[in-house]
Amino acid sequence: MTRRPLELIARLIGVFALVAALVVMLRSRSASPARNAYTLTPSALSDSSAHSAVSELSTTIARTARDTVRPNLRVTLSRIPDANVRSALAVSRAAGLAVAWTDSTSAAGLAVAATAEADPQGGTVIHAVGQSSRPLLVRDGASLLDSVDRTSRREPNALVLRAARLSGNAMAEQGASRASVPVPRAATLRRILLAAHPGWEAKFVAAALEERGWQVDGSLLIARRASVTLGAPLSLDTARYAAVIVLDSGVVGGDALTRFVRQGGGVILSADALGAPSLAALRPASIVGARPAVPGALLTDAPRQGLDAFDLRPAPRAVVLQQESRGGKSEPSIVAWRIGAGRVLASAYRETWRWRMEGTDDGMDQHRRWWSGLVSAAAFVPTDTSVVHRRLLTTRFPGSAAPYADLAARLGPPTAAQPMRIATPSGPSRIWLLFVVATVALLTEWALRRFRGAP
Amino acid sequence: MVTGEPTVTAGQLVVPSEAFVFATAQYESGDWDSAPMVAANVIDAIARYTSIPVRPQGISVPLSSEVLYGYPLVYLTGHLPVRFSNKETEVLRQYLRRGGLLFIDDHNHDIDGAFNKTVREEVRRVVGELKPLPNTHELYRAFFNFENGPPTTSHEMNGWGDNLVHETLDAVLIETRIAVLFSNKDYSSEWSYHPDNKRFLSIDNTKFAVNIVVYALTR
Repeated sequence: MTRRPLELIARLIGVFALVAALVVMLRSRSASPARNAYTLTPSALSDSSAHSAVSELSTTIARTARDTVRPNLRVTLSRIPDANVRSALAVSRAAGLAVAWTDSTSAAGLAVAATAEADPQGGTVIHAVGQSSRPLLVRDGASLLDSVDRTSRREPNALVLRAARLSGNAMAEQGASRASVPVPRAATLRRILLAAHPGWEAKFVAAALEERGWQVDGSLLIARRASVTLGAPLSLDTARYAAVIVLDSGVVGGDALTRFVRQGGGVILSADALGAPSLAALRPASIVGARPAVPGALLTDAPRQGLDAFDLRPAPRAVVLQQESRGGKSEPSIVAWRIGAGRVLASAYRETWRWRMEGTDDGMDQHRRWWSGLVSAAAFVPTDTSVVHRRLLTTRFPGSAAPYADLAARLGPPTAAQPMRIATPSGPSRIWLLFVVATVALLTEWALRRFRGAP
Repeated sequence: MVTGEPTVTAGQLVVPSEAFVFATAQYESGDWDSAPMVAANVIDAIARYTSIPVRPQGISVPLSSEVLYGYPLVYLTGHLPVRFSNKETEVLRQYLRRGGLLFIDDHNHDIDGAFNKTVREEVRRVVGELKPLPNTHELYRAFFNFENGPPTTSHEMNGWGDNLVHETLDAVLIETRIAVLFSNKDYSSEWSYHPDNKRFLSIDNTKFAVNIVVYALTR
């Protein structure tokens, strides 16, 4: 082969190599975000190494703060990370990292809530609901409290329980899922105002509530200009009263009650108050008929059937809280609705004192609990500002009370599992390839010229 | 006004208020019906001085029957020895525990009389010892104001019976509530006259009965 075609071929190869090196370098630069993808493995998210992983993340965020293209963060989770790691991931996302997570956990949605019961004897109501069909367990720091297993049903497992005293946090468990929530402090309760004419119903409702621990005020009109006061009745305001119980018609103004409910107060309209025209705007149900007592039922397991009652027709927005079966027919007995920030309950029953006096040996306690429960369902409970403040400081989301939901709320839904490309966070540029190719091309050109005899 | 079924008139429900019923205890021993006019006079006083709905006729209720539980204030009187049967004891004990008030008046006005001695023993057996009720108790201010405690009766002032003016009443308290109120003052005689005769009284002596009823209805 002559020298000239050989030189031509060598130069073509050199130019091709230079163009190729240039293209490779340019492509590598355009693909730089993918090169800045960070992968956190489950082990990196363990409690022991989470601190270093988060430190590395924070360093990277600081270093790339001025970059126009932010790095990606890909996380594979084999379990729901604790609150600190969830917070760190959320902060990374807020700082501009595109955070994606792959769900390799066997956890499912699970939430637990604990609220202080509006009852003078205290107590906590725990609500737990789980998405999976596995047994749902509720426990506190000391022991298992209750469990439910509804594997045969399609709806999620749910559990509501009342506990007088709890130790530590209230926790729910379902399979690999865990949720916990601090037990709230006892609710601050205001007094109860009893609006009634004197009679056995007023006497025994007040007695039942006082025996339960409520403080009851009232002014019972004995004569045209004389009344008997219970406690120290003052003007109707949520600063003093949690709820008003209206036992009769015509003993309290509808305007004052409406104002009180809109402030957040609770009102309980007993059956004989439901017919009062002044309370028409407040009542969540209207009377459509009478339901006579079932003789002897006060001494049975369904004692309320032994009370005279009214048939109630709930208003369209109202909710039926309690029903009663009488003669094979289910009738609403407690109906409620909201007005403003408060709640109004309507009871179908008349002369409930007979439950206490004429019922079984347990009737007295049942009557007491029933009335206290009605008041609790309607009572105004001032917000515990210290708890709100603490929650605002720590998290905007349910947090540990619903960890899976918290994670999804902070990071978005999980992405489908895909093979991860392990990449170094600061990979070297491919400009060295261009440099090598150019050097080789220059050396080749120099050699060819030497073969030609040129200097 | 009498308790009854609710009635619907022209689309509006009329609900009668629960009326107070004056009940006299009927026990198996002794003479439970020794003061038949008391009920009428007490009912008249309630209707006269208060706006409390009251049934115009009184009722007698056997102490041995659970029907007693439907009448949270019961009046008991007599001259003769009182011994409660087992059933009466059981019903009365439950009645008092659940919130009933038993007002006992010694129709003899005699602390040495058979009624006083036996009924005190029976009360002690059922619910506990009768003890003097302070004259500052709210019973004496429940409606009318009795600054000196229980009002005296004409039988006390006339020296009948034990020839004593009893300064206080006795009571058994459950928590702070009067469960049994006991009088040796013979209100049974004091309140036993035809109601029309009240207009001849300078001071209506049934006012204290109003206090007892108001106390029972409100405390």
